[in-house]
Amino acid sequence: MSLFLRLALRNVFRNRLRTAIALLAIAAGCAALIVNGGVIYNIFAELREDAIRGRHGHLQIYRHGYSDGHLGEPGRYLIPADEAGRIVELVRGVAGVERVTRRREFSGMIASGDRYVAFVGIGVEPEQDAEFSRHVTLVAGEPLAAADPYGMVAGVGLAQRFAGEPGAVVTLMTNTESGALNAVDVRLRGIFEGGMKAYDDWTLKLPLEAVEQLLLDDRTEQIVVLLDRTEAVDALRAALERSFAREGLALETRTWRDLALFHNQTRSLFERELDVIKLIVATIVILGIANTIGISILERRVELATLRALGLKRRAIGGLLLAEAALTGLIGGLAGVALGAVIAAAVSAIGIPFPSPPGSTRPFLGGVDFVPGIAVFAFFLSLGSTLAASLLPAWRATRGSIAATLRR
Amino acid sequence: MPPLDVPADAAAPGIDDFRVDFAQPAARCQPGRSRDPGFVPFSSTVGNPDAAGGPDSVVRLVSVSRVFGAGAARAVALAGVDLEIRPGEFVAVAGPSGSGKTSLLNLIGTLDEPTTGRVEIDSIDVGRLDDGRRAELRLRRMGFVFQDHNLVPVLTAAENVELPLLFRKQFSSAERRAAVDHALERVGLADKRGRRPGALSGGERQRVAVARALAGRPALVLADEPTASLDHETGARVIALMREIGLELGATLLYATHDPELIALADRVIRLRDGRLVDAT
Repeated sequence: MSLFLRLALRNVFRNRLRTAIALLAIAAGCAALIVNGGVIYNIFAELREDAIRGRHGHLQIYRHGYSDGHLGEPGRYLIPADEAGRIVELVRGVAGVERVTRRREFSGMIASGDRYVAFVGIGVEPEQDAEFSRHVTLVAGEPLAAADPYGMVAGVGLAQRFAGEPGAVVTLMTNTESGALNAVDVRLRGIFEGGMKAYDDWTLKLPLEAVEQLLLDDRTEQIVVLLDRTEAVDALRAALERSFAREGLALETRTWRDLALFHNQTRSLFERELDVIKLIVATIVILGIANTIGISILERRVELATLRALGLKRRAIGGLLLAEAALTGLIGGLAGVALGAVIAAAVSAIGIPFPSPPGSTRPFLGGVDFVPGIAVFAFFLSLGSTLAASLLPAWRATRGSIAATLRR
Repeated sequence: MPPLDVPADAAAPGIDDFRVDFAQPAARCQPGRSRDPGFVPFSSTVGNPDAAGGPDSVVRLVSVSRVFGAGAARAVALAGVDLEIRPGEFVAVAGPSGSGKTSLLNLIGTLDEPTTGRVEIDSIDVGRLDDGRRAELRLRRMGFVFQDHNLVPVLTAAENVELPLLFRKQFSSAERRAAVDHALERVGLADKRGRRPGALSGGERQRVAVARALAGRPALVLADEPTASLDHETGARVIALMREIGLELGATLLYATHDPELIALADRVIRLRDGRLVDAT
């Protein structure tokens, strides 16, 4: 190690108590950022999995033009049954695809006794849907079953609205594409909680077989895809779109990110909050250690003036002081990353009981994700803040008269 | 060893030219010449020795005064000092406390600037140099011994001696080590090279400071009351050591003191009283 670095390192530990306090301040700030970011990213992950495994899947496939036009002309953008079957087989054959299912959304009224309640229905394939509903909790009754095509499950809020209990028989009424009124009797098999209040207040799920009878239409609206890895969604989407083009299929795809508006809004909000936390942490670190560094430099003013007298230039003195600050920031930052990792692991092992987030219907047990990107950022923020805190004292230390300082 | 004043058009000096060798006289900055390739010739007076007091003058002060404060707090540290120091002189700066000894050494050492007048080192008007060039002048041409040794407490004796050499950059680590070993051996502290100042006696610390000042073979060594914190006997030994090494190096040495016995060791005595030069014979 060069003499310059040895000098800087020894100066860092010259007053061990003071250095320990400075390192603690830096490490605490760094760890706070890592833990805070880890909690937020854990919530993001929870919301993401809710969106993917509870509602949207990773990818949805529609007939081309669906996204822009299906609200005005819903019948125009449906996929014929034979083509839907072909697409499902094609998608199933792509590496990385875990599951594929067909869906058909519709709306109508539930008639239960003297109650008439509006609903949003989703026709699903019961044998596939379980995998798409891992983040949906069944709070009463049984899940959908392929063997029971006229058995439905309803969201907890919707069930309350028509006072439904598992086993109750209700009538679903809707309009077919031609405008005729049609109805089918179904049995309420179970009541679920999907995590989002709006979803639970309006949604029911029914096997496609019954939906096709109700709508007098066997066409498919969406083909929903679940992947092995969420991170692969963009690559898989591109691969699928290439396959569709090769097969001459006029389809469009949307990812869970396009569909999970609540997740996106929440993430955007929390990322802003995280930016504010970063600013606060940087300010705390700077204010916390600026005084310590300032006192340390003030105490050494005669020594620094001596070095200047011996011929060291101002930039060499400034470089020495900044090197000391960089070493302090480096050590404090590394300690902070280690501390953050330990806290993240410890807290995740215990779990943090969170209340229901806004728009959600259930509390959840969260943790602290150790996010490498945030850890790297926190480390460099600590290093940068420490350097920033030392800039003014270092600049001051290189100014002034050598003779006047040595006279003191 | 090559001659000390190497013509500017000579081949770049070898590494041996920078090795500390107390048997060789110290280099002087000559107009347009340097034995140190990193040394930048200073000031417009270079090349015109007559305009700067002649080539025989290491230090020249022309009507120098130094005033601190203003109004009621105004204090005259030096007033109208004219002085010339020749190469190789061993000079005591004498006078009672407050007579201006430290101010004089600070001005000569370019640690301070005169209120009026001109300070020339090796024919260079230092008032025309910026802070960086003055630092370079001190680094390459001067050595300092302070009253309280002013060693860096976290460095060992050897590291303290090495530090100024490190910033001269021409030396390899092996050459620095050799220079440090030689300097510490010369001041009798070779066996204490690994000790930090806190583990040395006052006299030993001051000898380390002497080694630090002389390791780079300066042309001019300034010592401001180097014996003030030492007992009389130790102080006398330090002065004698400085004289001995200075003579070997051919360096010019100025030390401030008010101890008559230490003053008597000098070849020449500059006496100050109330900021005025009363005797410079």
